[in-house]
This record gives sequence, C-alpha cells and structure tokens, in this order.
Amino acid sequence: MDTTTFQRLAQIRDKFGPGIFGKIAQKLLALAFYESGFTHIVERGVQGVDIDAASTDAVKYALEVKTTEGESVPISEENVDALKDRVKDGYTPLVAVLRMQMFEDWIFAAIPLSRLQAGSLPLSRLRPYRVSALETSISPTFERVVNEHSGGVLTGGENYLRQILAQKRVEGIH
Amino acid sequence: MFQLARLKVSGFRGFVGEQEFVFDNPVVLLFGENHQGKSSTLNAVEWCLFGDDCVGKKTGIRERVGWEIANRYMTQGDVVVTAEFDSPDGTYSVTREQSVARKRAEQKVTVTLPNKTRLHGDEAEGLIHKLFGYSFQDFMTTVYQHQEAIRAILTQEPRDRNDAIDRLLGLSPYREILNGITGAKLEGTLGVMGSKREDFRRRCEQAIRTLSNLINGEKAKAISEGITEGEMTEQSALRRSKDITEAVGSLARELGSTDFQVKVPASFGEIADFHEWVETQTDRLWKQAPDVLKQQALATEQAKLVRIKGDYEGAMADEAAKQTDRDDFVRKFGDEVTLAKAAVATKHSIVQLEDQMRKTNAKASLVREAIQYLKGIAREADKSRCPLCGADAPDLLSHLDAEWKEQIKGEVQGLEQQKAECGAKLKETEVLVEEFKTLERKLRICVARRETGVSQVAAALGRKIEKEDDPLALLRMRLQKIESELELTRQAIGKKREKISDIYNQRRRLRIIHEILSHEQKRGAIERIWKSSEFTGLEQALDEASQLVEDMKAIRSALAEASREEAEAKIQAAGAALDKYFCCIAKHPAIPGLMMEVTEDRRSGLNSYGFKSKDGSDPTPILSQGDLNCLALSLFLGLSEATGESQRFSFLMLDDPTQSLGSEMKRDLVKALEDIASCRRLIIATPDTEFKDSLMTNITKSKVVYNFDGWTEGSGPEVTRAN
Amino acid sequence: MAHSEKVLGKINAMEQRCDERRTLWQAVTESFVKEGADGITMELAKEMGAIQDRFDTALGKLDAML
Repeated sequence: MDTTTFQRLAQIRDKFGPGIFGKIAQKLLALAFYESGFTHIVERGVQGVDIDAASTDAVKYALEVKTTEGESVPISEENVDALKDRVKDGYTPLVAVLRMQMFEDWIFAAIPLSRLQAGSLPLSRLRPYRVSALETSISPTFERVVNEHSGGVLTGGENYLRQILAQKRVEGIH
Repeated sequence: MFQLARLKVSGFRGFVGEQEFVFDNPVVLLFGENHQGKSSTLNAVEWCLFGDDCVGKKTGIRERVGWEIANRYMTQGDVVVTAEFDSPDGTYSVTREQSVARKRAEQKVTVTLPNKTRLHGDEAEGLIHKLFGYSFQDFMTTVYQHQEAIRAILTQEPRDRNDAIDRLLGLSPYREILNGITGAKLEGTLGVMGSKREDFRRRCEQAIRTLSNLINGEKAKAISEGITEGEMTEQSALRRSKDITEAVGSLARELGSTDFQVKVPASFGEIADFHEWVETQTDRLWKQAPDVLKQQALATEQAKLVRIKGDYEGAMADEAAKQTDRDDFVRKFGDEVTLAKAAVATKHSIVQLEDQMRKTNAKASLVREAIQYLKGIAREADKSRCPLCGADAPDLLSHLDAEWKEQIKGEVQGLEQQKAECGAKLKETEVLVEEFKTLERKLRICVARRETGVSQVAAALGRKIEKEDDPLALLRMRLQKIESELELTRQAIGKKREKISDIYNQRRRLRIIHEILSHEQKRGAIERIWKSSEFTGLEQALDEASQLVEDMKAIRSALAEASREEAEAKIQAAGAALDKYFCCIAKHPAIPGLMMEVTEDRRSGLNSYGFKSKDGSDPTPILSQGDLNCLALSLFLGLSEATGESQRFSFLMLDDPTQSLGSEMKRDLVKALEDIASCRRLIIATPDTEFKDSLMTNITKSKVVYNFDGWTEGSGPEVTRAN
Repeated sequence: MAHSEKVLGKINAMEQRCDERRTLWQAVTESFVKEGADGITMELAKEMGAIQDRFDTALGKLDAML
C-alpha cells in the first residue's frame, strides 16, 4: 500500500489501539471485497471464520484475518477448526494477514490445513501459498476503501463501518 | 531359497592369490586373529552380489566411504570373486571381476545358470536383482551382520545409538538423505534473504520519513513566507521563475548593461540551474554597475590618501621630536665645536700633569731606593752614610723616610689623582661628541622621511608641492571632496540595492517551492520502487526460495514419516523375536523382557529409538556394553527371523558377534545359534577362542573351521580347513 | 531403491505441488546415488544459490534506485 494509506491506517491504529484496529481492518477488508466485485460477504466478529466472500463466478473464500506489526501471527485451534468447517461448504480456506509496516500489503495465503497448526505462524511460511490474483485485485481496492472511509472511521470507529457494511449488504440483495 | 555353497576369492581386499571356501556344513567358522582376512571373506560375498551398491557414500555407512575393493599391494591382475548358490533349481554362479590397477575400472559380472547359460553385464545384474530380490540394505539387516554395525551401537550417546539402530534396520539411506537436506541450510538462506528485504524496506521507510519531515519543514517556511499550499506547484514555480527573469532584465537595463541574455526555465528540471543563473547574473550586473565601480574607485583613493596623510603626519612629528632632542643637548652640553675645544684643553692638562709626574717620580724613585738600600745594610754605622757619595749623614734613613711619607708620597699621589680626573673628563667629552653626532644623524633621517612624504602627497594629488604649500592641508581638502562624492554614490546605489534584494527574496521563495517539489518527487520515486519490475523480481525470487524451502520441508516430512513407518514395521515384525533373543542372550536380571519403539525427533526429523522393559521402565541407563551388543544381535536375529518365508537366502553371516560379551553371554549366544542352525546355515567369523570352543562343543550340527593365519602382503592370508 | 519408492508414494499423495516435489525428489535421489549426503547438500545449495543470486541482483538494482 502507498504511504498515504499506511499513514491513515496508522492514525486509526494509534487512536483505537491494536485490538480494535484489527477488527476495523477486517471490516475495511470486507468492504474491499465488496468493491472488488464479491457479492456475498459475511463478516463475523466472534465465532466462525472472519470473512466469507463469494463472487459471481462461484469463487468462494473463507478468510481468517490477522493484523501484525511483527513477522508472525498467532493461529489458534479455533482458527484452524473454523477454516476446516468452511471447507465442507466448498470454500477455499485462506489466511489473510496485513503487516502494518510501510510498503507492506495484504497477504492471502491458501496454506493447506494439514500444514496449519496452532501456534505462532511466521509470515515467511505464507509466501509459497500466496494467491497472487486475489492480492492484485484486493490491494488497490483496499487503498481506495481506506482513503474513502478513514475520516469516518476516526470519528465513528467500528460502528461507522458496521453501518457501511450493512448498506452494502442491502445493496447487494437488491 | 539360496544356499551359499562355495566362494572363490582372488585379489579382493586382504586376498592376493585365489582362495576357495566350501560351505558344506551347517556351521562354518572363520577363525583367526584380527587382520587376517576373515571379514574380507564375508565382504566378498556381499561385493559379488551387490558390487558398487555396497561401496561409497550412497550406502549411508561411514566405513564404506573410500572402501577399498582391490588388494592395495597388488599392482596388476584382477579382483575376481565367484559365489555359488545352491537352489532347488540347481546351482547359480555369480562372478564379479574388476581390474586391480585401474581404480575406476568397470566391473564385469557374469551369472551362470544351472543349465550352464551365461549372462553378462546388465543382463547379469538384472538377474541377480530378480533372482535374489534383495537390496544391499536388506542383505545387511537380515543375512549379514557386520562387525561395524555391532561396534556402532556400543555407544552411550543417544544420537549415535539412533544412527546405529537405523543402520541395523537398513534405514541409513533415509538418515543420510535427511542429513544432506539439513546440511544445505535452506531455511537459513531464506532467512538471510528475508532480512535483506526487511532491511531494504526499513531504509525506504526511513528515507520516506526523512523526506516527509523535510517537506513539512519547507512547507512551514513557505507559509511563513506567505506562500499558500496551492502555490506549491510546478506551474507556480515556473511562473515565479518568469517573474524573476523580468526583474533581473529590468535591473540590467537600469544598470546600463547591454549584454544581458534572458533565460526562463521551460520545465521543473531546469529550475536548479536557473537558481545559479540568477545568482551569477545579479552578481555580474552588480559588479559591472557604474555607480558601484565609481564607489569602489573613490574608496580605494580615499584609503590611499588616508594612509599617505598618516605617514606624513608621523614623519613630521618624528622630525620635530628629533629637533627638540638636539636643541636640548646643545643647550646642556654645547655643540660639536664647543665639545671639541673642551677635549683639547683637557688633553693639554693631562700632558702637563704627566710632565710634573715624571719629575716628581724621578725624585721619588731615588728616595725610595735609598730607603731600601739603607734598610738593607746590616751595620748601623753605614746607615748614616750617603749611599751615593759616602758622606756622613746622621739619621739619614729616618730623615729619608720622613721625607717620603710627608712630602713625596703625597705629591705623587696628588698628581696621579689629577691625571685620573682629567682622563675621566676627556672620556666623558668624547662620549658627548658621539651622542651629538647620533642626534644629528637621526634628525637628518627624519627630515628625509618628511621630504619623501611630500613627494608621495604630490604624486597622490597629481600636482607639484612648492615649498610654501602645506601638503597636509591639500590632503585634507581632497579627502573631503571624496567623502562628498561617496555619499552621493551611496544614495544612488541604495535604490538599486533594494531591487536586488527584492530579486533575492523572490529567488528564496522559488527555492523553497523547488525544495518542496524536489523532496516530493524523491518521495514519489521511492514509493514507486515498490511497484517497479525490479521489486516484482525481488518478490518472485523470495517466493521461489520460500517455495523451495516449503517443498523440501514436505519432502523431509515424507522422508521422516517413511523412515519411521519402516522402522515401526520392522520393529513390529521383529519385536517378539527381539525380545526372545535379548532375554536369551543378555539375561539381564533387571530387564524382564525388552520392547522397542520409535518416535520422530522433532528437531531433526530423524528416528529416535526408545526401549522399554516389560515392567514399563526405561532400561537404557542400565544397559552395559555387552547388553548393547546383545541388543544389536537380537535385532539382527529378530529381523532375520521376521522375514520368514520371504527370506531368499538360507544362511546367515555373523562377523565378530561377541564384542563386549562376557562368558555367560557367549554361552547363551551359542544356545540361540544352536536353534537357528537347525534352519539356517551359519557362517561365523571370530577371533574369540572362548566363543569358538563353545561353538565347537555346544552346537550339535556338524562344523568346519577355516583357520586364518600368517597374513603377508605378498600372499594374503594362509587359510587352512579343519573339520 | 525401496526408500525412494516409499517417499515417492507419499509425495504423490500430497495435496499440492506433486509434480514439482517429484522432480525435486528425483534430483535429491540422483545426487545421493552419485555423491551421498554431501551431493544432496551441494545440489540444494546450488539451487538456492541461483535464486539468491537473482534476489541479490534485483536488490542491487533497487538499492541503486533508492
């Protein structure tokens, strides 16, 4: 992502702290999926996989979303189980990681669940499984989404994004 | 099943000439001291069947690296080993040959079938594999127990013991491949690449932050200069450049310059040069401005005249001072003529005094000598007689003495005193004369200096100075005029200087905008690095490296899994037999039965073997060297028994099986071998006399002994057969 | 060799990248037959070295741009 987008995200993180920032980033990612042409998006805050995203050409992804400033992310047993659960419904399980450092972008990795274990997952292990096409599509959209909504987020926090996503869902239905 | 019937060895390892062994008894002993060729005999069977497969790194056995096939003392001839195997179909003969001299010579393999058909080369090799169906690994885990395998397990280091058990189980290739993969340190290299990428990212980030800070600083400066955010653009910069050029042109016209050339930057990239051009042009115009030149000329003349005036005034003051000194001197001491006259008079006085002194001295010396003469006379009577004429002179001595003391001495001293005084006076006068001369000289110098000053004033003013002229007054007049002219020039220059100042201010503002835009351009260039094809190439290389690491991890996992599964299967198959033989041979009082298990060493992926006693305890801490040997033997015998019907060979070869065994263990081993001998031919190489005797006594099957003795370089071992 | 087939079987059963890993395994076994464990180390180090060279070249160009 470009420096402007990074600085906007950094502002949000500095205001709300890393925990809430993770949830905000997840919602912004969900929005980016909408903007990229995915129609059926389910974004969850608690149980289950973080984001389900299905496109019109039957591509379905189930994403476990993580943010970090370091070089690894924690994966829990629940995360692995949630992804395994979505496989039954034909979703491709992905680990989506945003490293909050300048010049870094979202990584979408289709790491085989047999090789995904609970514990600390180094980002270097995700590289071989990156879904480049998805990254190429989502990254610029995510930048646009951040630049458009960062003001609203700084003022209204998560609630602001909930409303935007709700609007998108309604638009999708119609 | 194939039974080893006969073996002929020539040129192989310790052997020189051909040696034949016939395995026509259930038990065949190869007995002799170390280094007599017993192991070489067993190795020959192995090499005959498997050739290069039992040599080198690929075996996974350290001792087989650089393993020599040909006898090292033979310089010509061939290595030839022929093994005959009896089977229900008849006798198969396998011969393998290799040149002694040429180390990398091709091996020639021949298989002779029961119907006497001969196969050679690849066909023969193919038949060996098909017929016997055994790999070298299989052969050494179930048919031929090497003494190195027993030796390898006799270590307390768990890692080395695991290595040895892998070897016993025929799993060395897995271990070696895993070690080879680990040795490449792929993850380390990937880590280095990742670190370099991260380092580059940090440097870019630092550069961006630095540039952003610079931009913010320059923007703050710009705002304080009255430049708005909207004016911090390339168009604004170019417009300002045009304004500055017009201002410089106007200045040039005002200064009367005729060679001024207009320059307006056409693009942002030309603005850096434009700054220099403005500076150069304004400097040049200024330096060539008539008012400025005039001011410079007047200032130069002024400085010169001030200096000349100072020098002249100095010269005049000096001259006056010197004149005063001279006049004071003359007043006090008189002039040169007066002093000269005084000196002459004093000299005359001295001459007179000297004359007087001569006279007085003559008399004084007479009186002095007479007194001395009279004092020297011994006779009293003679003291009253004149020493010159001899006339009587009573009390002459005392008279002369009185005369001397009262008159003569005083006179002489008086004259001497006067002379000294005159001398001092003369010296003083001479000094005064010199002093006067010095004063006169100094005065002359000052006069000359003043006169030089007058010439300088005349030259500076460009006119003649007559005697009646006052040079100082003339200088003062000229300096006043210069000051007036300078004042007029200053006023004229001041107005033009305001214009230049204005140009410099415009230039400063332009520079600020230029700095902002330059920094923004650099920042943009750095941001674009991350979308460049070079960065894509970097990421691709990193992705490839990650992929390679991940692929090799998957392969490692597969290897580790396959190795463990094979180990588990073999342990499972041999488990009961292992326990049976271990209990039979070791008879350890604290180990009532032995079970073996294998797990994966998480760090290395290699097999890690553990043992459990039947009561659940870990017997490893109490296993002696002998127990470990028993373990190795039990594993071998257990695996061999486990092959059961699939066993292709109906014989077993044991090389020095009693390393570290005590007497009782040896007896128990013999008991175990007695059982085995009922279904397998046993070929046992040993240097152990006690073991040999026990075998000869307690094995009920018929036995034959080949005694190995007297090995020499020239002939190899001396082998004799004894039933 | 038997161990080679066993590992190959496991590679064929992998979810992803069977072909690539088969090729790699072939290279590993060939190196092992020729040069033993050291051969494998050298072969893999050579392969990684070629990637690292490309990486370093790209990084050099990026450094120049910075």
